[in-house]
Amino acid sequence: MNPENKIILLVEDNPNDEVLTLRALKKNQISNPVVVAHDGLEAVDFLFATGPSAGPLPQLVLLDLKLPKLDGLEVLRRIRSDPRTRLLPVVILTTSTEQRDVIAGYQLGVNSYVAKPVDFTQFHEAVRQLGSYWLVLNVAPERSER
Amino acid sequence: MFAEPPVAIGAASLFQSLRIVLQLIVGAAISGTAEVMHRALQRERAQREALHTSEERLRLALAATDLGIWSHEVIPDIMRMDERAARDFGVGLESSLVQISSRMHPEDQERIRLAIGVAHAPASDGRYVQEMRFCHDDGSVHWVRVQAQVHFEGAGATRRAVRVVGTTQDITERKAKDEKIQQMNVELDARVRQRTTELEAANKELEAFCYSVSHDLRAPLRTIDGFSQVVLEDCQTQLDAQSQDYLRRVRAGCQQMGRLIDALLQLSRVTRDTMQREPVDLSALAQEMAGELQQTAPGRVAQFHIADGVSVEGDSQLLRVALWNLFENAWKYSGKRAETRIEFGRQPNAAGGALFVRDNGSGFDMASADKLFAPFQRLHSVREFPGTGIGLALVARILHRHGGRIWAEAAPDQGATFYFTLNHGPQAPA
Repeated sequence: MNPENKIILLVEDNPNDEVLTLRALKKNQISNPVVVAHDGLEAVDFLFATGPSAGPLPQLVLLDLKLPKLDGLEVLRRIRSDPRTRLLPVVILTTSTEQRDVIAGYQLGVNSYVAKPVDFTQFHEAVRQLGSYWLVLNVAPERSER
Repeated sequence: MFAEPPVAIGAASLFQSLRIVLQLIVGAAISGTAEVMHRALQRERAQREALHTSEERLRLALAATDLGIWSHEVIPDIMRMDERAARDFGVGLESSLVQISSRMHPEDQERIRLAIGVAHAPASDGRYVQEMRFCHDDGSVHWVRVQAQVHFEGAGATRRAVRVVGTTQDITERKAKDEKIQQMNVELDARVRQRTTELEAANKELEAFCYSVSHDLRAPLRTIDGFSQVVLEDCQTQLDAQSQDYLRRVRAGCQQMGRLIDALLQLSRVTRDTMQREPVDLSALAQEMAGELQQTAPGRVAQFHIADGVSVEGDSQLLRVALWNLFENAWKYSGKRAETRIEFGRQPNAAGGALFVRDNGSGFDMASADKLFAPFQRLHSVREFPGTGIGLALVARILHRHGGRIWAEAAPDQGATFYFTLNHGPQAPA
């Protein structure tokens, strides 16, 4: 499949983190189109085609937890409870390493939980690994349930 | 007692003689009766004295016990009592149930009337014990404990109460104390509940605070660090060496603060997390850590002496954190030695069987030993030995949660030994 078809949905409300994440993706030669949702509601609108930001299903969702309107865990819950998105690869990419967030994330069926490091060099490396694993190495399910 | 009999002749004197004989006979009879009566009187006096003695003893016994005594003729309603009972009831020495009832506290009257009714009933065993209040003339209210035994006459349906004997006891003070104790218990309960609520609220607040710190405090640091790096990358050609160095310092500061935030969160987590007690093989943990430390610097010459069979009871996660911090510390501060030497074991002579981690590192001055276990206190500069100043505070907190403690012995340049205990003792059965 052409990488242009493999959309990444970045759910991120912090504009600085958005810029840094997009830069890290670009610098790591991850050329997939990135759609940014700035709150939980935008993310849900995009995924379930219910609003102005509706679009095709992404290959990967990078999901922040602390979000306005709908928080990340609620977005995850909706993704997992809808047959169209039930198997969608979702990676929580957030600042918190609180156990309650990690446990809640896994309980709701997240595929991976990555803490954003403060050190940008480490953050850069984390994004590189995420891209190569989820967009290249990992075999995602065919969208048979759509 | 009798007059001398006169001497006379003739009928008159016969009559006189007969009278004398009669008088003599009667006199003798009267005199015999007097003898009998005298003895009876003596006997009665002895009995009365015995009764008096017995009553005196009873009175003394009652005085010693604070008891008043009373008796009640049911029909007609007459109550007789000693002074103490009279004082307790607030009436005179002779009174009646009706009068005494009228002195009773209105709130107690109905209850006592029913209790007396039950005790007087034909099938009753006649015993009753009740506590009631009496309102005295001086306005004071006294709690009195009344014990009574009802005596019956007749049998079956015709059995009826005729007499009651009983005691009184002023229990006002005891009641006051009871009430005070009860009131204090209520207050204590309320205070405990309030403190628990406050503590729960404080814990919740702390948790919310930590959650917020975990989420929100690191994000701006990432912004500062990230964009400093972006400037370093994108403007490398425009920036001179000094400007680049400044930006690297900005980044180093961010990263140190990031480590501090992580350490603080770990410290608060150590306090908040629930503990699970289980047997923990510290010797095995120590061996594992020695291997990990050696792996970080394979070329470094180090000797680890780890005692076998040191097993304790505690939370394995927390104890791992504690032991790791002690080992990491020992490793860090002995880094400048030609050969690192780290020991772990149990003190052979100590009564408490304290465990220890010893190194041959740079040690410290015992004068500042009290600062060791407080968060953010460091005995060495960051330049000399990097660190957050949280490690030993973390260890101390973990050991405190286990009911144990930690202390250190050291001298500058002579290495350091950290001793610690857990409340179950190092050799507690698994």
